[in-house]
Amino acid sequence: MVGIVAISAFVLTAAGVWMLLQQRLLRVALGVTLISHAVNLILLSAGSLGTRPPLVVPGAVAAELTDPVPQAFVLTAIVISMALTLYLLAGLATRALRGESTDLDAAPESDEGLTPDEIRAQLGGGGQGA
Amino acid sequence: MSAFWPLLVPALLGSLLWLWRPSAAVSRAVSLLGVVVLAAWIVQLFAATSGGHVLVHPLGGWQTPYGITLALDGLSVLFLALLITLLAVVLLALRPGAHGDETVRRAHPLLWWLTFGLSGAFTTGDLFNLFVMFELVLVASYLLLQVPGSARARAAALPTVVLNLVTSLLFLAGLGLLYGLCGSLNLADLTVRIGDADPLLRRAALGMLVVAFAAKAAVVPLCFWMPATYPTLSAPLAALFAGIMGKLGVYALIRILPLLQSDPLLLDGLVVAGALSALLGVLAALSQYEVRRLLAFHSVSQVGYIVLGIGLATPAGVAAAIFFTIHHSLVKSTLYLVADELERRNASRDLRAMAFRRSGGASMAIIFGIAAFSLAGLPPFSGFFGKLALFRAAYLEQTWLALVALLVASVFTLASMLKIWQFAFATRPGDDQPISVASGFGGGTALLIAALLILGFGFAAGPAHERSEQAAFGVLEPTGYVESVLSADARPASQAGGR
Repeated sequence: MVGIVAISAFVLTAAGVWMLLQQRLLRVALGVTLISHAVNLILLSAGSLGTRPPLVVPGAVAAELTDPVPQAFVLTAIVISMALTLYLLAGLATRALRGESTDLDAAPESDEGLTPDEIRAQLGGGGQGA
Repeated sequence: MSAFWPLLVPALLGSLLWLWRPSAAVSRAVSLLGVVVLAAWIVQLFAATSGGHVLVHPLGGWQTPYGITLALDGLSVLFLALLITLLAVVLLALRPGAHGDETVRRAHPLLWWLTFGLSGAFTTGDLFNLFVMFELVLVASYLLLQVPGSARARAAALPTVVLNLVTSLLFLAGLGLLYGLCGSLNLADLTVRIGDADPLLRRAALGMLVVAFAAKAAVVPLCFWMPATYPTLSAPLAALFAGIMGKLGVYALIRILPLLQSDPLLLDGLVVAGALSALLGVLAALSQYEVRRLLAFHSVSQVGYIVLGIGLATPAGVAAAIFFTIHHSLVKSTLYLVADELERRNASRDLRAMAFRRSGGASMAIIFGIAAFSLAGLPPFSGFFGKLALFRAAYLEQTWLALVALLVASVFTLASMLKIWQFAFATRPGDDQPISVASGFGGGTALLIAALLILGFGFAAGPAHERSEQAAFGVLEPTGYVESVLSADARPASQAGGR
């Protein structure tokens, strides 16, 4: 059981890292998701994998049950990574809708090409358009 | 005095402002009131934790180490005080007249959520809770990155988010391994149990934590998200990010020092990474022309100093790192606030487009001078004492290469500050007349308070260093911390009534 989980975590991480190294934001977001699955498996394996019963039945001895804490960790981690994946996808959708590049490295490194008024609006006002 | 209540104020204010959405002026009034309340609490906490006393609050009345425990010691209180000070300055500096109503209204609830996450991280005694608080801080910061709403800000935020997501996952994986090894994530409990763990697996688990924290603190080679995003943030927010959010990684590194002491290799790695950051960061800063990019690369360099001190893991080194963190936070936020004024007055982010008469004249030059000299480490300012303490720590450990790296980086720091001076403040022919800029209440006040804080910290260097030494001692000799946490009363007064 531990072997299967370890190999799955390895494959998921490897695939995730490969996806992370792509240009397109969608692939990067998927890569992050894959790695987060791998990490969830690692967290889960911190408990006692498959060797102990997970349920409290009448007559169960506490020391023979699975440790419930790693499962609570995984639950928290899943919620957080889902929310953040949504954030990434929302960012991607906004950019796509506005016809902007959906590459990860699309950010300009300077304000070249902007008029002074545009720069002033960014520095002072801000807040236009959501 | 409980460690619990100061956490609730930011959470309540964050929710209140988020749901209520009052006007910018009301938001500011409510927030400033909140800061005053919190500051009063933190003054009390300061007194309650003096002499190495640790305040422990087991949440929900669970017997330690099984539940989530809040544990507040000297180190936590120093960082909490720093957080509230910077928050007050930034709340004053972020004003509708200068940055727009919408920016202020959007930023305030998020700033309180950021504060909640940070104070939670500084207070918790549980590593998984630390992870959750990290995420809370990051979510608030992701949203704050979007506040300016410009195309460049939106584009720059995404790589930062991806990098932080990946390092968070690394943090989480490290926690999983650590729990598998030791069966606990309570810091005090871990400190006791870490010695029995398999050294190689322990190195893997702790290594993941160290890399994750170093990336959040922006240490070479995981630093490039910082110069990419700080120039596009709303400038007062950049002051808060650079001042305290970037220091969260530093805090976490100091916090897990009792665990890291079991593995000298990781500590040596921190020293090397710190020395490289100090050098490469300042060299990169020298080549920049956008003020805030320059300052961000500078942060990389200065965080290098701090991480080097942590890596030494001696009382002198860690005390110097804590002192330097406070000094750097105050100075760097001030520099970002000055950069904010410079950018708006010159209507450009680029140094080459700036000129003395537009930059705000003599008063701005004086405030910049105070911050710049302090950053460069000239004597009566706090930077001198911070660097002196660090150099002494490196000298005591005979890490000569690190010492040379720090000295060389110091020279370049001065050079890069002179570069800003040269472009923004030295009079050049062809100066135009000033561009009229709106300012609104609080801009000058914030800068003045920030400058006074730097001066005050320089003059209070003695007591401040003593306090840092106490905090460092509490981390390096964790017996007191461990005993306080593990022997905590399982059912605090507020919970006792139920049974």
